[in-house]
Amino acid sequence: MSRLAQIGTAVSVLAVVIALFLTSIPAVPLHGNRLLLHMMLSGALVVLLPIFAVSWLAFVVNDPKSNLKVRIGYWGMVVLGFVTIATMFLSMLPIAGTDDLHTLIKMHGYAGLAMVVAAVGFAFGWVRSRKNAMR
Amino acid sequence: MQSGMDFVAVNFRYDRLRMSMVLPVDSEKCPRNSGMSASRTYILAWIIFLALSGSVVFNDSLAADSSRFAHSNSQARYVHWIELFDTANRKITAESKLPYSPLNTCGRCHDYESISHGWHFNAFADTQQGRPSEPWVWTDVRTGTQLPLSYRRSAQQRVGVFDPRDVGLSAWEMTIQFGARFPGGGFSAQPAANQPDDPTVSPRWSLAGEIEIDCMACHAGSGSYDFESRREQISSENLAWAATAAIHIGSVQGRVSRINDDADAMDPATITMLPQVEYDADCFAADGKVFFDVLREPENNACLECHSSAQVINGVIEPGWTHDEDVHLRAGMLCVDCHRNGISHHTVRGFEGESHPTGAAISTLSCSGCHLGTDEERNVALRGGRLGSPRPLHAGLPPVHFERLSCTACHAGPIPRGESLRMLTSLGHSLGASAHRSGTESPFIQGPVFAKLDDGKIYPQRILWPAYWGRMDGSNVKPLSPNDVYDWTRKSLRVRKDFVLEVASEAETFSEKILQSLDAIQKQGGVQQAVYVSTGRVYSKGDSGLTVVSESVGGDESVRWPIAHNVRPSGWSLGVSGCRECHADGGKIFDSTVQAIGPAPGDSPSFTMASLQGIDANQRLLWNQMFGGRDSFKLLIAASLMLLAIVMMLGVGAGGAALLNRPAAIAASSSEAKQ
Repeated sequence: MSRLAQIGTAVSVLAVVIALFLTSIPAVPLHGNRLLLHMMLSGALVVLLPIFAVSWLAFVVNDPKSNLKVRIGYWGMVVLGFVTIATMFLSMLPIAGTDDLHTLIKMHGYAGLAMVVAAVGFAFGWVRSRKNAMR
Repeated sequence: MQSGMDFVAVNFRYDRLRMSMVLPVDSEKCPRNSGMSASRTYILAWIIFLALSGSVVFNDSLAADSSRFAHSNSQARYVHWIELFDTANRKITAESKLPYSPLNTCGRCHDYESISHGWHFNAFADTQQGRPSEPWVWTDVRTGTQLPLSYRRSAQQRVGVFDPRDVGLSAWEMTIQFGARFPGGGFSAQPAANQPDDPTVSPRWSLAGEIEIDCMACHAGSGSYDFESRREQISSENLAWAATAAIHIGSVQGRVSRINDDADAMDPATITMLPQVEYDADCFAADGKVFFDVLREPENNACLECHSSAQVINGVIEPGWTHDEDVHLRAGMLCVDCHRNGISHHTVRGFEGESHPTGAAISTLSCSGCHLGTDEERNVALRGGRLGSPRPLHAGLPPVHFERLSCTACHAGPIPRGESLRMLTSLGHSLGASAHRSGTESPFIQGPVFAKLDDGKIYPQRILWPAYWGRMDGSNVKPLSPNDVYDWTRKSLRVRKDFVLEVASEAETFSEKILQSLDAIQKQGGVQQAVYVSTGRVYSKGDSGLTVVSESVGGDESVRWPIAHNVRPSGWSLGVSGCRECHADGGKIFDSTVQAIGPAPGDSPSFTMASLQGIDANQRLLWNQMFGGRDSFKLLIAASLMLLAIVMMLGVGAGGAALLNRPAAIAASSSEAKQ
């Protein structure tokens, strides 16, 4: 059951990350329906990413079946996801001025893009580890 | 010797200008350039100048030096004790009878030709375009007409606005109707020369003269220019006399409007009927000069004379004491600090993306350019903070707002309410003139409405639904000349004072009188299908009486133009209290409404700002719902970040532990291997 939940969260997070990436292209100007969809999906990521992080932590840290790609992909997603969410969180608070907001949005974009790479790496690593386990 | 002659020649022109001000100028008694023709003087001067300098490079400064107009080149005010010249270009004395001519007086030392290219003097011309601005609204309360007109032909300018020439209105009619609010030039000056294609140039120009560009209308010192007198003269068709009456250097007796249309301007009997000026001898100094209180930079009052507005709140014109000025004026600025111009009088309008024909960098004279600067921060002159303007922080405001909204959307215009307010303007309602106003006078201008311009940004704007009589031309309606309509419908409408009260107050009366008037127009004007348009509805004569043959959708028939002022203090900006000030049901920028109003009776359609912006109602509902849970979402994000942080710390801990255990593990594995 926990294995199923693990797979479910991983698939969901990967799907949300890809969808967020797609709704952010082209990067500027992001507004209208695309922004609306991007913001709605971001809510899903905010919920799913911590669940994914917790549910996969033991596997990544202790399980000898986890390969390097999975570990790098996982930690990449967690760290970059943290940066991606944190930059947007900061920009939602009445703290940063316009220049800082532009910087935060750039950081958000780059961190998000890097997270997509990490997610793809994680997915490949995960698929490979499954294949190896089945041999 | 050659060099000396050159020096004399070059300076001779400068001195000549000074002489024209210092000495009595009589071109016959004091022939200019005596002993040397002007052209010869110039040629010699240039040859020697080029020989001395060894350069044939022409640049702006050279052009300026060679200008035939002298400059004080000082920041000090140039005191104008000057001689005045009349419309016949003769020096004015206390005994003169002709009015003073700004062209012949000011134009002696200032480049009138360059000045005439300015925005203000081309409001009656089609040579300048620019972004939409308030049209000339031909208002006739006797026929229920409020017809927006403009000579400008750019696509943006033309939405809902008609070219006076297409409506059959001559420059003379336009000048008499709007001249009181027009500083001169364009078609109202040199009408025959400016309208070579117009066979109907009114013969009355030869009686009334022209509205020359009246420099003193803007450049007079406070209190020395009387706009009321100017307006009186123009309404009396004393066009050439308006400038004289306005500065009270003499009194004007007589009215051109009392002279018959068929009068011959060259007839001595007609000439005796023309207005005469009685100059005030006290205005003339012993040397015949007159003091003109000229300011280089016009005062705010001069601008406000034509650029004022007043709101009508709860059916009452907003009292002056409750009305705050633009925050910039409160800070002591002048209108001309931002709305600047050089001798070309191409006044900077101050909107983003504006370019200046001189090529001067004016980006820092727009809101964002002044407060935020441009992208070219390395260029000091393009940085924000011009004139000490504060740099706004806009803390927490997503930058996407700057792509979708103009600065003025949040910061300028009347405070938005649930419904747009009726507004009175100087051009539309002759604000500044002494009158009894109730606030219900036409034209029925309203504001603010929040709608997009061509750049896709939302701007606060004023809105007007045209009302006019016209003829069907296919599926379009072409307006008829309001003057002709008045003549044709005078008997059928029988309006004494106000069309709205006397015709449109009851639906039955409205139907009856409009039908009679449409008949009259069709018969007398030879129009096949006459119509009356109000609030986007087109009324025509049908089989069963008065019928609405078409109706506008989404406010398409309205005319809109942006509001730039008054800029409110930052604390009174939209959005200061948070996102939900706009992103919630009832947010003024999207949910406030404007009702189409016009002279015709009946319920008029009402529009939300979102519909004027073309925003889908469902999309807006989604946005509003999303922002409804924004505070909770922030808490959720915080919790999410904390969890992720804990996971990262656990990971770091696990990694650290693995590293610490690694030597022991290696040792254990090596001992195992030995065994």
